[in-house]
Amino acid sequence: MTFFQFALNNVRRNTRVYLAYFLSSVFTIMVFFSFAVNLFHPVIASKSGGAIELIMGQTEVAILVFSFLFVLISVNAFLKVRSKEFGVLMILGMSKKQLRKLVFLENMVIGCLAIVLGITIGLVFSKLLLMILSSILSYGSLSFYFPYEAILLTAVFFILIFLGISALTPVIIRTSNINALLKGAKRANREIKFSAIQSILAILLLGAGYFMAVSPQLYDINPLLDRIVIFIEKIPFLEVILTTSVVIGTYLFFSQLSIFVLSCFKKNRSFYMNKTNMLWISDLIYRIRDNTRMLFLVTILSAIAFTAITGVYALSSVVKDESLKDNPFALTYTSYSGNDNEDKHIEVIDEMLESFGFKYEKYKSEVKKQVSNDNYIVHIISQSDYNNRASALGLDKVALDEDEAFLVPVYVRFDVKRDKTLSQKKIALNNGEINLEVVGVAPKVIFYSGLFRNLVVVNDVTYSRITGIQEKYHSYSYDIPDWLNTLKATEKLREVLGVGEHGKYFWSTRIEGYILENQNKKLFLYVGFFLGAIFFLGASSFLYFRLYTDLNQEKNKYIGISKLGLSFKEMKKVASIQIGVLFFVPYILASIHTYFAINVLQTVLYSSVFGQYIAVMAVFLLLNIIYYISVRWRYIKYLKRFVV
Amino acid sequence: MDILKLNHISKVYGDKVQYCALKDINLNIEEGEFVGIMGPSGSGKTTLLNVISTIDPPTSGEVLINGENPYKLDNSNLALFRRRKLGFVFQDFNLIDTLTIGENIVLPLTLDGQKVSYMDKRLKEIAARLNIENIINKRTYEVSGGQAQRTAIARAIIHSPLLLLADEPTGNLDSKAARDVMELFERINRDTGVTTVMVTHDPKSASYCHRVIFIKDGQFFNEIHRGDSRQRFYQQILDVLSLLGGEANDIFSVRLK
Repeated sequence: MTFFQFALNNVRRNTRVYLAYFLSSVFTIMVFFSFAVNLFHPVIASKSGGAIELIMGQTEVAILVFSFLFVLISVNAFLKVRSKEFGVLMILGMSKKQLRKLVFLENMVIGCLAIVLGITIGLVFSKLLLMILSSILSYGSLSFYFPYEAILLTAVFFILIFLGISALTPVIIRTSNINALLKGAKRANREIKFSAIQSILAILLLGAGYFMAVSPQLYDINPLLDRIVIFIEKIPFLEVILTTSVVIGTYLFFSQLSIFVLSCFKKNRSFYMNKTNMLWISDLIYRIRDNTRMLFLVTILSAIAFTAITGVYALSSVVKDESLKDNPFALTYTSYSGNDNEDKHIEVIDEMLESFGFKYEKYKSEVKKQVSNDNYIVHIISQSDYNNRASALGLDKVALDEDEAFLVPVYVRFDVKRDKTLSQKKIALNNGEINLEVVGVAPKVIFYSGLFRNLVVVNDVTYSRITGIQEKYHSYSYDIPDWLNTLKATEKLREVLGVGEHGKYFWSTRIEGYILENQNKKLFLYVGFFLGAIFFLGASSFLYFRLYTDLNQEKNKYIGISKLGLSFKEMKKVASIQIGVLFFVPYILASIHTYFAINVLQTVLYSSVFGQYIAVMAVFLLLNIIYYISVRWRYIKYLKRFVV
Repeated sequence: MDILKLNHISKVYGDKVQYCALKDINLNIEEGEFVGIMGPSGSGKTTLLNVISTIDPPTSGEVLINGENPYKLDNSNLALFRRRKLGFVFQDFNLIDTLTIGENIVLPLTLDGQKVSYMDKRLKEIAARLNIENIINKRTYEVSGGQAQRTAIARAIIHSPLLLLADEPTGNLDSKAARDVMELFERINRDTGVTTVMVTHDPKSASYCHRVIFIKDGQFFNEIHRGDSRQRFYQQILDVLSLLGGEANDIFSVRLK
């Protein structure tokens, strides 16, 4: 038997122990690969630089980080079970280097098999994902292709992951103490320590994180899409503090606070000494302490999963009429003063709309852009042009004096108090020559979201006095009742007008925004559900791994106690409470985390998402209960065989 | 020549509450000797064996095996030292479940990177000597306790170690299997001349040794040498054990086992 055969024999003949590790590796590889197939699809790759590529790319990175953690935790559980075996090998004279080589060879055998199997299953699975994705992006059908890049990426990344994990082996197995290894996974009854200060710190950190989440004044108000882009591009500072404080708080919750609370139970002697209470409390302290990292990870992963799913679900229900608000008019054409083709273009648009048989109203406005000496940019519209649009949009008309001004928001969602331009009390025009008093703010945008920042309505006389104009725009807005059917007409217009010409003109339609938004919304839903589902699955299997690893030790304990006269019913109760705590405490904590995370989202969306939150949490609670019942059933069934 | 030499070995456990497991133990074992270590529960006999086994460094004092202090070696050389100079037999056999009996036996040679042909040759010799040729293709769960311990002994001597160390090798065996195993130890010691140190509870097993050392509360208590008769030696061991004082119950329970 050579060394390599030895490693091979270990893998071949120990399927029971290796299977869980192998299957979880196959699962992660499959998920990663399927997503990579989406990412590298020629049609999607050709849209490089866009939001789709960004979102998909970020998702793939998230899956990669998750995969590494997941494989690391699986391998950790699996190596711990074998510590006695390693102890024997070390005493027979296996060097550290050989041990590392052994684990490396085993990992490579398992890893290569897992990569091959994961990619094979992934090929089938990715076809399904491609179908979903193509319907979301309405690219017709995304044809199946042979994904060389995806295979290469997956193989390289996972070989690296398995290599990295082999390198971490000495950290996982403490090779320095052979004696401890020989005693196996049995944990010595180390003294349980906790610090009151750190327990209080746990409460403080969680409290601080939650407080920040419910304090919207700490947030800058940006329109939704800007915000998401900011979130993806660079995570804002406050969120980092908030998240870090909640993450550390969660860790301390399990490592300190929970033990502190259980120790308090212990002090209440009439409760503690009552029947099986002593059994489950004293045992639970050790179990939580030994499983701190696992419970922590499960909580964080579940919180991410819950937030992602609630978030996308809320977005999809809130964003429905987004494009309507963003674009109060079905079509808007804006021309710079230097555009010679303005009249011709408008004629083209009119004719096109008429040829398709659309009924429409056209509103023309003139907007002056002025830049003061200190670089203060203001867009000015006359009162009559504003009133013209206001009547079309069902807004109140304004009647301003010569020294009065009326402000118009540039984005759909705004907060007068927190928006710098809308909270101005006085407006100075013509470099301080004209000073106006602000008398009010329009309730919504009158062009479309994002056009004409710092827009001011002034009296027609005042308007005529505006000098030093940097640019004068003519903007034509079309109100088309049947706008949902304007896609064909828009496409034809694009053939003639293109997207616009810099410094000459630009134009946009509601229908295009609507379709893009729909697409983004569905993509978010897809990615969110995808990530949420695998994170939750991952979190659940961590728990399963852990229980599986502990089972042998538990068995011995229960055999011992049952000989002392513990009835099966009592054993069932003790086991149920313990498994219940391990299952539901992370769920409860994660749902609280999610609630506050959703609160942040709520301030951004300006709409309550509590209903969606409850719905999502209820579904997961149900899943968790089913999972708990089935695991508990198997667990107790197994222990029953050994109880006297 | 002394194969094993212990000079003033002490071992202290714990940080805050200190517990002294071994106090100033001195011991010389000559080449080819078969030595038993006995003592009541908690007397430190397993700790002593662990110190000799190079897996538990003494707090003070020095261990010399064949004139070399293994605790002065770095990790990889210590592994080499164990691999080539020491053989271990445990109470619960500690066979690797994923390997067959034969593969378990050649494991030390595998770790040493020996040629397969050499492994096969050694395996054949050892299996013949230990009478386990018929089980070398079986898996560990298919053999009896006595056969498992024979396998463990074969694994411990296949590389012709300087020192064979056994920790309660008969502790998990019935009396017949225990006798077979002890006879095997005796025969191996006689035939190959391998120096053997064994920790045991069982006076019967101990009576196969040339010399038995008794320790109590971590300290050297007594030692007796075997004369011509194993039966008389057994009686002497029992006498010393009762001398160990107030532990008669402990001894009886051992004898009943």
